[in-house]
Amino acid sequence: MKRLSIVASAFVALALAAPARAQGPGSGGDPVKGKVVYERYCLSCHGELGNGAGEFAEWITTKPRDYRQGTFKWRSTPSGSLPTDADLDKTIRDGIYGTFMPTWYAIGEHNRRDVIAYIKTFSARWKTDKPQPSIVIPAEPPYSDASVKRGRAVYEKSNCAQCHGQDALGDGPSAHELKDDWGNPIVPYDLTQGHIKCGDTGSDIYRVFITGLNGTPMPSFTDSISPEEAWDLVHYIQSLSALYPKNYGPAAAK
Amino acid sequence: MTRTAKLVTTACGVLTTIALLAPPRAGAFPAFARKYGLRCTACHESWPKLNDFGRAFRDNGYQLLMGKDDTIFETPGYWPVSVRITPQYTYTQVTNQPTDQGTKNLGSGGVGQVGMDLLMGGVLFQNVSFLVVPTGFAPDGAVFLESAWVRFDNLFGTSWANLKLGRHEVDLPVSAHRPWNLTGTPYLIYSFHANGSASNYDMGENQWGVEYMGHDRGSLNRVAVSVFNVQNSPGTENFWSTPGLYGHATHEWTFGSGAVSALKLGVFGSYTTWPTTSFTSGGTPIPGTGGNLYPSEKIGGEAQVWFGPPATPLHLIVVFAHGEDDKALIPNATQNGTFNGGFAELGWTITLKNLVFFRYDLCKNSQQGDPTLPQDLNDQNAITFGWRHTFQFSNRSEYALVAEYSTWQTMGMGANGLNTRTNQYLVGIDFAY
Ligand code: HEC
Ligand code: HEC
Repeated sequence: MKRLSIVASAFVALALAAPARAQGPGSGGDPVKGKVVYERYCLSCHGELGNGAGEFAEWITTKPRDYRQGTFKWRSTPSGSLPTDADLDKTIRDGIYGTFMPTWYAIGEHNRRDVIAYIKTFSARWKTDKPQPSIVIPAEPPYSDASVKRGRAVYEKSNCAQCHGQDALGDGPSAHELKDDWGNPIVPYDLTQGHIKCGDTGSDIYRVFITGLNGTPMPSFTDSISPEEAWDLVHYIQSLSALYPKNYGPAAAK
Repeated sequence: MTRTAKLVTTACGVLTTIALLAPPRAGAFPAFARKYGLRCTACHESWPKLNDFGRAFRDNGYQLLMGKDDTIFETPGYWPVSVRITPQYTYTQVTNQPTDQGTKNLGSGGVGQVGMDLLMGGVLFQNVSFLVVPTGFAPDGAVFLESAWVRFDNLFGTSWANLKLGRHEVDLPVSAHRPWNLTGTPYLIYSFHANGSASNYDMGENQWGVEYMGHDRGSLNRVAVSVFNVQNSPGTENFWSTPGLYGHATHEWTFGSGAVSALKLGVFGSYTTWPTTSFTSGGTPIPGTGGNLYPSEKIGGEAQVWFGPPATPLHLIVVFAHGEDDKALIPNATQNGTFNGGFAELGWTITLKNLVFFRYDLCKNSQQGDPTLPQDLNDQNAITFGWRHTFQFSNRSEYALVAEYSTWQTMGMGANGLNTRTNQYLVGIDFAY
């Protein structure tokens, strides 16, 4: 047992002593190794050419992302911008709920970093353009009934119902005629389901309508919704289902 | 029966078993790949061995937990059934066998009877998963079920509470049903007992019982405990008449960069019983009448290291255990029999389609129950290596060429107390759909 623990600590030391090539989550990967990661895990949906037309794509309805335009939905960066490496890492790590995009948490940070470097080779945009700085999300105020009520007013004022419907069931007047940038029909999310696609926390919901979802009709409301209003709107959305985690007090506010 | 006749029968038995019966395997399950649109490589480091993603998928109860698991989301044409077949040519040679013509080496070869695995598994509903593996039909039509369990996943909303009921493989450090090799050499330590022990308990054999299993996200920390009735115990067929207990816990570290991408350490142990008496009818034990149970124990550790790029790793596995069989299980024993053993396995996924692997198994008696016997009687060691080349894979099916060699040595059990060696050469096509 003693010998084992010596061997174990040697490996841990070896691993930790390795040159820290990596920067933040998702950054500094090797695209050559990333190609193998992609072939192992991603190719069946996203396709050999990165065009979202893998062998499984034909059979599923939310189509896998076509990487060639450099357009990504879930970002911390302003509308129209490329995502940061950390944004991509988060999406890949947690997956996209309700679609066939799995959570790749278990493949580990090392694989995700390499595959992110490889995904970027599919679009020239990554060479000519840089992600803009992430938006600043102020600390979350506690969840309260008063905030939910104010949030409902923001929902009405901002005309979210046009697409998401009066009761946020995803059935607004425009809901059935929407298309995404790739020409596929797209429906506004039913916000009462309790899981949105890319993260359920307050700041995940906040960033969706402040940065918008590139490539979809879901716009950015950064010019018309103030940060206070934004948090109220988040709380209104969270009130729609018991499944959303809520921040009830200052103790939980981080 | 004379000693020689017994040995000949045993030798023939060994030969036939090795030549005809591939080790039990469940292995690859392309139905999951079809359901989720993933290639075999997503879940298998090199099939049939699972990688971290595959292990997490299995621990989650064959679910990805992204809202698409329930059967109602499957296309109506989907069936949770997979087939694995391995047509192969195997040549087997066993040395130092007693015959009427003296001590001889016996060999036999041929296109091995093609075993077929029919695997049915998946989810019945969200958080209710199952696996059924029939491995044969009796003349009266009864089905022999190698696996048959249902599992209630994520009870009380936590991944730390999963309960499996039915015939299942206990949570071994390395699954006995997913070896890289197809030759007849199993992981020796799983079935090894102190020389002469009556107990036939084999850790790699599926057991009827209950398993509690818990894990965290990504299965970096896992714990499993199985309580079961020891399979194949003579004279006992009531559920708890030959109780056994098995436990296993592991922790894995993953590293974001560097030469070592992951390291896993674990401990495991089993405590099983075996009857020493039974009522008989014409010499055959009467089911349910076994008595005077005596224990066998094993306790061990595992270390697994993944070197190099995690998508094409060089994977080192070391498993070792210490075991003890009660003297009451061993003929003429005056003391308990003890032994040590384990294996070291190295698998290198050179490319997604090429794997080379090497394994060394070693089991040594450290104390014979009958102290008059040579200390090394029935010690065993084996070397197995091979190459798997996958021709093609998609999210539906996969087939591979396999070429292997294995040599397995047993001390003092051949004719006139000679050592025996079983050599096996195998080439075949392994396919799964
Ligand atoms: C089984 C199919 C499938 C597999 C396999 C798959 N994806 Fe996806 N992926 C999808 C689908 C479907 C979407 C689109 C979801 C949406 O737009 O709602 C997507 C979207 C994405 C996005 C875009 C996120 C955004 O913000 O726009 C990224 C990045 C991504 N996948 C990365 C990966 C990586 C990396 C792998 C392999 C490790 C992978 N995917 C494997 C189905 C898959
Ligand atoms: C022009 C139509 C339109 C309007 C207006 C609109 N949305 Fe959306 N919204 C969408 C569509 C389409 C989607 C689905 C995007 C997808 O599935 O990729 C969506 C998705 C969402 C999501 C889920 C994102 C996720 O990660 O799953 C949230 C939250 C959301 N919208 C909030 C709002 C709020 C709040 C407003 C008003 C401030 C609003 N939307 C206004 C079309 C719209």
